Amino acid sequence: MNTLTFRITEEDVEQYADVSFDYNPIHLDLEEAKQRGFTNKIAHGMLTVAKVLSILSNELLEPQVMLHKYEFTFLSPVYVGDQVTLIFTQTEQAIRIEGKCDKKLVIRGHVLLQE
Amino acid sequence: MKTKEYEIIFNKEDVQQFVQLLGDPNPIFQCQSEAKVYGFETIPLPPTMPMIAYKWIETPWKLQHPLIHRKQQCIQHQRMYIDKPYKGIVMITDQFQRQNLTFTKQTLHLYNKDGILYFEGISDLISGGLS
Repeated sequence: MNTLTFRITEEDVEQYADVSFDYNPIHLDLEEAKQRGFTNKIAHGMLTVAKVLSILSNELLEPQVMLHKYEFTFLSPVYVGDQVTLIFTQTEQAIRIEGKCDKKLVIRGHVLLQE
Repeated sequence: MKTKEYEIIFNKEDVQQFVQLLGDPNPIFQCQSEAKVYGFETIPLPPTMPMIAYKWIETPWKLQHPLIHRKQQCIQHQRMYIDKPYKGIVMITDQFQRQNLTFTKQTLHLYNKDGILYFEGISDLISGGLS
């Protein structure tokens, strides 16, 4: 089991919006996010996944290993400024991943590597 | 429901912008010569990058805000590279209504020019509705 962390910054979210053209206001507009019931602007789900897989590849795998399949469930919002703690567990078939902000589970999933 | 087919090409600048925002130091994404050291023909795409193909695809349906991403599954059947032409199609593969919310399963398919499937991105979304 390995534990690693990353933080989602406002700049990350703004840059991801520019890269993906996903300008959903819950990511970029605090008032709009609050109107939708969130306490802050939230990170794009795919930004969080991209960060998770980048950390997995760089910290735990060889650079050239292909991630054949991945699946994640977004359990709670990841807010701008949040630090996400990742727990990676290697099983026979997959790498299982849980991400927590403080003690709250925000993302859970698994990755299968190329055979 | 599905979109028409779009030609998608990811270039080197797209990859560099993507890995820079992630702070991803993996050498295979930095330049062709580094990618070749690891046995690649050129720079491969980071694993989540095919999903940004959505920005080049116009869907004839609009999912109403607030739009919440509930679940994501992606399958990379083959390595994808910069400067290769891919064909992109998005289709709604499942949809149902519960109370005032619409639950939609939307799938992005990326094929090469010969019609071989390279990537599937299956998104579970919750929206305020569909128009």
